[in-house]
Amino acid sequence: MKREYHIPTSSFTEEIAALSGGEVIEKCIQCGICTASCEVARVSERYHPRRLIQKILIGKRKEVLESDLPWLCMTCRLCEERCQEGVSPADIFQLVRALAAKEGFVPKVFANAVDLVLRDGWLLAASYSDFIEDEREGMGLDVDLHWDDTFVQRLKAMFLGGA
Amino acid sequence: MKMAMAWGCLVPTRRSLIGYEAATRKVLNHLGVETVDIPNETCCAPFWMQSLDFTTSLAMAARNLAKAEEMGLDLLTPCSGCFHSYMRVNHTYENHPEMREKVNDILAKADLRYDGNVESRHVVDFLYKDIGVNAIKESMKIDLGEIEIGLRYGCHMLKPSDLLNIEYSERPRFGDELLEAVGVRCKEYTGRYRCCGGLLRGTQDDVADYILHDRLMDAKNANLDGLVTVCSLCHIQHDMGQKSIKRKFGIEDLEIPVLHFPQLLALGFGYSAEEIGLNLHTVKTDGIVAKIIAGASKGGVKK
Repeated sequence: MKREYHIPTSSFTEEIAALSGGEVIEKCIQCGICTASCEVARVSERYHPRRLIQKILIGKRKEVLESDLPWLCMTCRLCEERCQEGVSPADIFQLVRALAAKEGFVPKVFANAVDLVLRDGWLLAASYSDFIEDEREGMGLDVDLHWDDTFVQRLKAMFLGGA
Repeated sequence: MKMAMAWGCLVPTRRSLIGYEAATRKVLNHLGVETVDIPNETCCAPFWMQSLDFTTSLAMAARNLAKAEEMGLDLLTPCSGCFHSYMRVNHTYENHPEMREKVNDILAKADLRYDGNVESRHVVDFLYKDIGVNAIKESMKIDLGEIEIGLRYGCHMLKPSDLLNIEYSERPRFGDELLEAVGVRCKEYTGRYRCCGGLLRGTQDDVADYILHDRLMDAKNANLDGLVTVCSLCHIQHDMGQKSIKRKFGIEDLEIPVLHFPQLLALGFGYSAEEIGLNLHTVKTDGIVAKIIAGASKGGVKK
């Protein structure tokens, strides 16, 4: 009797596999060690990395790109270290986010976070208000932080244009 | 030995992290390492920035590396997120040489160029490998032997291990080895190596809270004198986030002091709690400091 194998694939899988760093997705055997290792999956019913990779494998392109799930990976990369097939969900979701961003699907909270970096030149610059300058001075630290946002300002158009 | 310092955006600007900067400066100075701050440091383009435009994000990190390269120095950072961004630049240069010119085209906008000659190091790894356990042990003035702590390595200093190239194991040891050499007892406990949820702080606060709750309960159940962190996000979570977890989950007796790795060493080198910003932490550190001082006055003073 001829054996039959199911090799899950889709045009979306091929699209990801064609990107640098995305090739590994075709090696996923859906064992679930990623979800078993994931702190976010432990507290969230929605974000399970194995399930998200499965959606890519079976070609749910629109659903995946429009979802906020690829943005919930905290890149702790424990799953990547444990995966026996060498798959990195963190890298795959980064490629997915890049595609989503190109097509205009950046979840609002993350878009806001990035906008702030591009505006301030720094991540979480709002936290500057969190301490008073006397506290730096008191420990002999420079009060002027010499933040430079001019370089980032020049790059702003490249980011927003998704160059 | 001289290193170019990249402090990142969290360490110099968060009330409970300023002491991380102060302690790192004091510890390096005490150990004879000369440092120079990277002039007008810019954002390293972490995480989500890399998704939006990988090449541009590399150029942002490469800008600070280019400044270090101009000075002919290697780069040292206390921030695990920054460390990851800088390591990513050299890794990409080596594995995708075509990216070099793309990055340099962007850097040219700031009249800079980066040729990949700067090695990036994380402060804790640098202390262990370049300074060494023996030199640190010999610089100690106070014995830290009275305390038992939980050392948290965090995620981004070590993983992915093939990129960051420090050590990978599910139970890393080098930090424990260093602290144990100066008398600190490092306790093994459940949840010690797990993620703290810090990366989703500000964007998915509920998820960040639930994960932090579990980490704090892990630490509480381990009956530690305190936690010791190496990652800025771990510290923001465990120290600054502790009050809100206490309130949100109704845990009355939650009071775990959180120290940065260099702060603990600085105490051993004889610096006062105020000099290294321990009084600025959200959770009071008086208890663990008093325990160290009491231990030292019992005959633990070494020199």
